[in-house]
Amino acid sequence: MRASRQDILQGTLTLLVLQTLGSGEKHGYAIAQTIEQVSNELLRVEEGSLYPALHRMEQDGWIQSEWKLTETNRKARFYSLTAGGRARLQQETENWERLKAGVGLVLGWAQ
Amino acid sequence: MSWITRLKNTLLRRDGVGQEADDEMAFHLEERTRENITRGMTPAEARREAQMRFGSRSRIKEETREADTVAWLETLGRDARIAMRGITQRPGLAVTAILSLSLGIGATSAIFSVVDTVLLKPLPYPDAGNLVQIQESIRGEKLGGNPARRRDWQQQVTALTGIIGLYGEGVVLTGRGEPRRLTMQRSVGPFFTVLGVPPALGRPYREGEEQAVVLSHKAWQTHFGGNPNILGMSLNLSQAVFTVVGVMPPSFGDSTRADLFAAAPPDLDSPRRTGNWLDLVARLKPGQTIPSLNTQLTTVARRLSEQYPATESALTAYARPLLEATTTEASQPLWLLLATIGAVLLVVCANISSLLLVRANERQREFAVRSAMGAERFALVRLQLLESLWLGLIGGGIGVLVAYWGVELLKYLLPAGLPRVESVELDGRVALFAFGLALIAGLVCGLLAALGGASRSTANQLRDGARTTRRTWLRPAFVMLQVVLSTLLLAGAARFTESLIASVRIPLGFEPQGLIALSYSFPWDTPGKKLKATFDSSLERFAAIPGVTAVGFVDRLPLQGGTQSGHIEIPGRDLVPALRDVSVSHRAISDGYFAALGLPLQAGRMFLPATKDSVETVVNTAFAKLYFPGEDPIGRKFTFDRKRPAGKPIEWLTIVGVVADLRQNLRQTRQAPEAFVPYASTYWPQANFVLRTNGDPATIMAAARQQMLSVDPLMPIESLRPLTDDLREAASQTRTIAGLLGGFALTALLVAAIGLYGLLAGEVTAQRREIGIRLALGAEPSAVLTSVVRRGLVLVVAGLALGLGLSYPALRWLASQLTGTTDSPWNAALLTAALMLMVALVSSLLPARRASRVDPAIALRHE
Repeated sequence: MRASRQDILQGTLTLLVLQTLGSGEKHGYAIAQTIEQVSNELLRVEEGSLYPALHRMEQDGWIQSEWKLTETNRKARFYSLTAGGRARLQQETENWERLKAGVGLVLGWAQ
Repeated sequence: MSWITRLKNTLLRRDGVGQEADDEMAFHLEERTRENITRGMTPAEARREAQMRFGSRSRIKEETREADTVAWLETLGRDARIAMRGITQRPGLAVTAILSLSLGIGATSAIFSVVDTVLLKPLPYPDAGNLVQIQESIRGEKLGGNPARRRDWQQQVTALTGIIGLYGEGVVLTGRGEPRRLTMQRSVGPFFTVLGVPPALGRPYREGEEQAVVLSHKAWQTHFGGNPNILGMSLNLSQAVFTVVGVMPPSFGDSTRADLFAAAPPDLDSPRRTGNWLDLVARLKPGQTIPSLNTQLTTVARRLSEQYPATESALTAYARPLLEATTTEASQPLWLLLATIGAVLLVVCANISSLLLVRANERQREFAVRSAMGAERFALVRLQLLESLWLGLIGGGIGVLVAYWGVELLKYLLPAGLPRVESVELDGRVALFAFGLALIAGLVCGLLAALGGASRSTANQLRDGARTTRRTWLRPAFVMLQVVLSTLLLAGAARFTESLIASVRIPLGFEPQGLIALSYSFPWDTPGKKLKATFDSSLERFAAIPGVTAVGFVDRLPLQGGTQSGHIEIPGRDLVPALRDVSVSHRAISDGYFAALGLPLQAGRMFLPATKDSVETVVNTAFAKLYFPGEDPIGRKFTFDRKRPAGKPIEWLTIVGVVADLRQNLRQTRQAPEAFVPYASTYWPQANFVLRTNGDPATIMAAARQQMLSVDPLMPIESLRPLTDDLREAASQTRTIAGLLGGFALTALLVAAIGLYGLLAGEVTAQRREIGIRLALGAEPSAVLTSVVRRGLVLVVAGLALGLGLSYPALRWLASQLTGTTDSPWNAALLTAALMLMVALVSSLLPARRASRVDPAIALRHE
């Protein structure tokens, strides 16, 4: 196990972002808001670090971006899932399930 | 895919990427602030909270950018800009380095382009690598191909797809204005299949097809104006009618200078196994190699030897790549030139390294400050490398321009006989070569400089102040290297020139002034009777021209080295191997030849016309001395007929006279043995006449042209010129190469001198204070002067000794190549040493004088 704490966090962030975008395109601020709200504010995204992550994911081809007007008529960069991103989401979710199960077993939560 | 976007972002959208990141972050902060305000914060509070949640904007922006771009490329780009600024800040250094590099790279690339075109590029045939030349020998003596034997090879050597025999002849085109002389390449065997090039227009001629001719592209253009209706046209070639059936593509002309191509007359392609005059070219089957072909050739040759003991006993044959076979003569001088100019480039690089090293030392403090500010050591080395790479690339760019002119100059200077020399040009390969040289030169200069540059700890350097006077071993080493290389080059060039001078100094044996040479030739199947009649009548008519005092016929003019030579056999004598292998030149002449050249008979008499039973010969003094030392050669017999078919009577030649020596060519530095026979005893359709004159050459040449018209109005004169022209031409190749080598060597010497001067001048500047103190304490200025000169001389003498030591074997090799002897190269070495020391003295004296004139008061106040 070479994964450091940061890697796990970063990997998780990718999963969360992909999942959030699964319901439709959003700009960065909306992504941060959604994650917070959906997790009942249990999870709080470090807002700044969201952007380098988004750009990396875009370069990896999982998401794509476009400058558009918001409802309030302001220009913002909207991100949406690509086909590759959808596959990635699937894979990341499975990874997460496996990790959860594995950690659960170790911690002794039977079944 | 993604790296393409990132590369595009790095190279084209640098500012755009940053701007987008800014916009995106600004939007986020505004949204958060608004949200905070709706939650009841004051605007100021709301903004501060938003900032805090977001984190460092500049860090985030940097990270975002990194995600969008190729980070290392960006750093590289930035460093490259800084490096460029560093260069422009020191224009003196930059100009020196770029100028010398561009000259070095340009000259090297120009020579490389000649080497590439002449020696390396494949011949202009498809799969040219599969084409081979086949050389046959009988009892170890090389001979040309024979049509019947060609057929045997073709049928029995399975490694070949085909084999052809080629020979050239001169033909005269008549019926279209002035008679014109064209060269025709005749072939036996599947010419077009083996070479793999079909005509661009029309069809190939068939094997043995009579009266069909294919034109070269050049002949079509120059003699027929590119006439599109050329196919089917009838040409009158040396009184035979040919029909044009095709025109070859232009590229075909790169390998042959023939104007016309035709099958050999069918009666020549006969089963007769005597007569060996063909050049054999063959194509390997795919998958076959030259070694496997050679094994087969050996087997088949043995079989043929047994089958035809009369004509082919002890037959052997071997194949080598056609490209190699056609460039043997040119390859050595060209590689020599390339190696020489490469060494000059190395000297230039060493010099630039040493300049950069000085600069690196000057910048020690700057670097110390930078590294104290947190720059990595590698980043500093990278910066230095980038600076020298810039120098290399700019130098290389200008070098390509230099090469462009250099190629034109070389094409003008190099002998036109060099194969494919006219198609030498700067192409992509040469540009790539120049670019590679530039990169390597830049890297080597920079690495060496960086290596010897900063190595002391930062703290020490900052404490020391600007003045660092330490002597490094590296710069003197560079100067030594330059001296060693220059010594090698100078010694080589001196040796080459020495042999050139020696070869010119040997007496020609005749007075070329006032001699006029006239040549014409018949096709190879002209009957011997007709030849003799035309030659006789020419001799008669030329002799009648006023101002002509003597006329002679000769098959090959002196100074035109020739292939007409052979090994001899003397009856009742077992020649030692050294004598057996001497090539004896063989010339067919008329009675008047010696008189025309002014060669006196030393003994005996002139030969009488040949009879059926005996041929008389006159040999030169070198022949007599070599084979009959201390004996009277008159009356002795010998023969060239060593590879005669068994059973055939030997054609003995009887020596009746000895004539004075005559230079055969300018390359040899010793007189070579030669035998002269009556021209009527041999068959040779190429005629040369020498006219000894005492009048105006122009008038006499015009009269000779007139006389030729009455001998044979349809026979064009091939050349008519004073023999002194030949003399100049014969010397031109050696002179060109000696000139280039000498020029290169002197350039290297100059660069080395500048290097030495730079080193000493730099040291004197750095030690001004020390020198000032010495002078203030009462040292004699002359002592200071000698100490600087001594340092320069020690370096040079060490380099000189090393260089001469290294050059000794090289010079011996060169001497053996040039003259076939291993004369001692000490003259060249002495000359080199003298020149080198003189230059060293001059380049040391200038800084030394400056050192001895240091004013102690000023030097001590300085700093």
